[in-house]
Amino acid sequence: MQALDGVDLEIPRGATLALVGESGSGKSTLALCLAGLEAPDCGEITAGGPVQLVFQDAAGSLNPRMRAADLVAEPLVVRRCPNARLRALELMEQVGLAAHRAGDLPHRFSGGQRQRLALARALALEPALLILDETLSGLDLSVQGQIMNLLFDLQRSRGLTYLLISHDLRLAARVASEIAVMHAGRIVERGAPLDLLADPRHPHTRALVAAIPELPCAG
Amino acid sequence: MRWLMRRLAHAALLLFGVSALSFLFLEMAPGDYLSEMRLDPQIAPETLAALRQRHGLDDPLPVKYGRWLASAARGDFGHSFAYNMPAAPLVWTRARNTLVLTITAALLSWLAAVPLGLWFAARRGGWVDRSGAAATALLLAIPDLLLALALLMFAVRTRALPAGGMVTPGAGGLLDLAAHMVLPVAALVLGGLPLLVRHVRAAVVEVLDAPFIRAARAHGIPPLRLLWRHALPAAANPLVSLFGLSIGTLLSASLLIEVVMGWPGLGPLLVEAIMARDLFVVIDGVLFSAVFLIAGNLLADVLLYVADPRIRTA
Amino acid sequence: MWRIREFVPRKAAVAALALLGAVHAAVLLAGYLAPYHPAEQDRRYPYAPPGIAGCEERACPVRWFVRDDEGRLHLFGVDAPARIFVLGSDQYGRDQFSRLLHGGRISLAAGLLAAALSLGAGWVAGALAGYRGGRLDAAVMRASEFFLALPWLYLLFALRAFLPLDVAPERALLFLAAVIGLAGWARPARLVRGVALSAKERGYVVAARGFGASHAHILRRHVLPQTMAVALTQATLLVPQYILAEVTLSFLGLGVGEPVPSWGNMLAALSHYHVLVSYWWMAAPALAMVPVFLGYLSLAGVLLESRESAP
Repeated sequence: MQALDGVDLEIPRGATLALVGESGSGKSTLALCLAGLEAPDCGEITAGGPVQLVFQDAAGSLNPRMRAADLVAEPLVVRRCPNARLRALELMEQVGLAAHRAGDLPHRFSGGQRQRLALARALALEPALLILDETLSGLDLSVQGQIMNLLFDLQRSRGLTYLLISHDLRLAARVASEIAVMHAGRIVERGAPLDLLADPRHPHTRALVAAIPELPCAG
Repeated sequence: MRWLMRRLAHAALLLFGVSALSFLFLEMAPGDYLSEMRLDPQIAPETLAALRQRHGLDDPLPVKYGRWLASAARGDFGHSFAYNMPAAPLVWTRARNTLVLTITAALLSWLAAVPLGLWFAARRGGWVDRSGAAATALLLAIPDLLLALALLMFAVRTRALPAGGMVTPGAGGLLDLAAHMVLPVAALVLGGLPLLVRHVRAAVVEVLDAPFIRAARAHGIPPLRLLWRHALPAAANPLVSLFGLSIGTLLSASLLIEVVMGWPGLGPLLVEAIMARDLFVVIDGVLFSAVFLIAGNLLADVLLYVADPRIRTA
Repeated sequence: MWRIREFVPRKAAVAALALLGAVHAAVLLAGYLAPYHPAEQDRRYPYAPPGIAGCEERACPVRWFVRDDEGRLHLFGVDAPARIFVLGSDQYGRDQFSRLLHGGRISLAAGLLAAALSLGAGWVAGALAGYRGGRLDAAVMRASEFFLALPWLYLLFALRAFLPLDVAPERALLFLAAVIGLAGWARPARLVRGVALSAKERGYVVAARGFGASHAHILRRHVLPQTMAVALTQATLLVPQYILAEVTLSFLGLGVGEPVPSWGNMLAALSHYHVLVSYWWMAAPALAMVPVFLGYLSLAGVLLESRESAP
């Protein structure tokens, strides 16, 4: 049983591609492959620069006994980069975390702040491609908006390319410049968000679109 | 059924391994029974040489082990030099005595531990629980050796019970045996009870916090029935596993208690055999203890399988 | 009432540490606190009860800070030819109090050394097995099964059987600690392995691999700290068990032998009924074990409780 079957993906630099599909469609596996944490049985991955992954479970990806600044600095420490701690503090500020929180433990941060922490750490190695695995899901709408703005700012200032993985088609539509729909390990449809929402071709895309709850317009 | 077969095969493999390792280690040990005898001027060196030849003491290790395995398959587990008789019946008689002691102690310990643990758990936080915890802690801190010696002292001073041994020479019968058993069993139970009570209490406390217990209480189920019919079965899972583990600790404890109280079990036999370098008795004794332990664990696994429907479907 | 319960663990820990500290300090200062050398005999007073012997007119004051014939300082003593037996004397007239202190050194040291050995071996084996997995893990699990297939004391005795019976008393301590320690590596190894196994699967370990951390770094930074808690708790449980092991072995003549005192061989005298009944003070070593056990077990209890409430 293959998780992925003939996936052919190309993301233009500086853009945001959203990978949408329900659970079991293979999106997380693809993310792990691209990040170099799983080796594909066949096929090739070429990236125009380093690839980093922001995990689905931000809290789980942060060692609960390590202080915030140490967590962010760890990738640099592992590479023996100079001034790791200093750069970690800079990164924390860039994602909107106050410097005085550098000594706090993860459980003292809110969910949204933990996402920022994970983001800061992913940026430490100056990636070209950032894979955001369900990064915006599970947050309050207001927090979601804040993180979204942060992501947009970072993308502009650093020229980052994003691969957003989500099960939420509506969220993807707000964030991405292009959406690819995944089902059973294959990419079944791909296109601009508005086109996809207006005229879904593949039955699965249609199912996803139909699943979006209709909200009555505010009066 | 397949599962049971697998566990049995696993157990057999384990026993093989233990026996092989024992042989290996004993082989590396300096000296053996007959080398001690060499110092005795009354024994001619030719006799010794003949004995060595007959029992194959100078053969290489794999040959020795192979021969032992072959004869074991026939029921012959080697020869005791100290007693000059086959090792197996000797070990078996002693092992039986140890079993009598340990099984009685195990039953009594659990019979006492379960109600006590339930009681403390039901009254948790109250003075009953806290004094229970203090008593448990104190009893745990008293080493078995001290318990055994204290009990012996009490017996000798008051002459109420026979101090040591298994039967009164001349007399016999169940009552006599029981009287002799009181001291060692008491020592074993007192030694093992505190830990058991703690574990029962902990397991029940964890269950008492579960939603289904709260629901039952809300439905007005009386507390005693609640404990007995609802809490205890739910807590049975970890306790059954604990039962298997407690066999091992009980066997270890009984080794010392048997020696101190002169109970003719495996313990004193093993100590003697070690001192005398009686090779086969040591191996057989060690194997017997392994058999008991593995059997106890197997029993616990079977009980768990029977008791917990979730495991059956897993 | 709940607040008191939160306090208790911390207070218990302090009390336990104080108790253990006192006992270990007393034993370390044995040479100073004990009025006599442990091997010093006085055949005039066999089995003397606690008190001052050889003093008829009750005019033997206890002197403090005395020096003995070799010029060594002792906390207290009495003028010769009287003898002060705080805990009585044995059949050779040796002061039991002095032997208790010196013997305590041996027994406590044996327990600590053996525990260090067990934990060291178990920790390394368990952490590597849990983290690397694969064949190493299978091998460690198989090996530990053999060691756990025998009841603990039987295993210890079997190991002891395979070694020379006569061990020079001076080397007996290290020898015993090695045997006891190696016999018990299996359970700590399994516990540490369990922690390492679950730590390996944690999100932050995967994340660390994601940014290129080496195995050594991950072990050091993320896996091993998790195993500390388990290792520490095991340590507090193993030390009393191993002290008892040394005492048991020496009691039966398989451990430290005369004339070096250990709590075990001191208790061997009690295996004679007449001693057990008539000379109660000979049981002092067994009583001395109680506070030691209490200390270590309370500490273990505190550690277990704090681990349960930890994030």
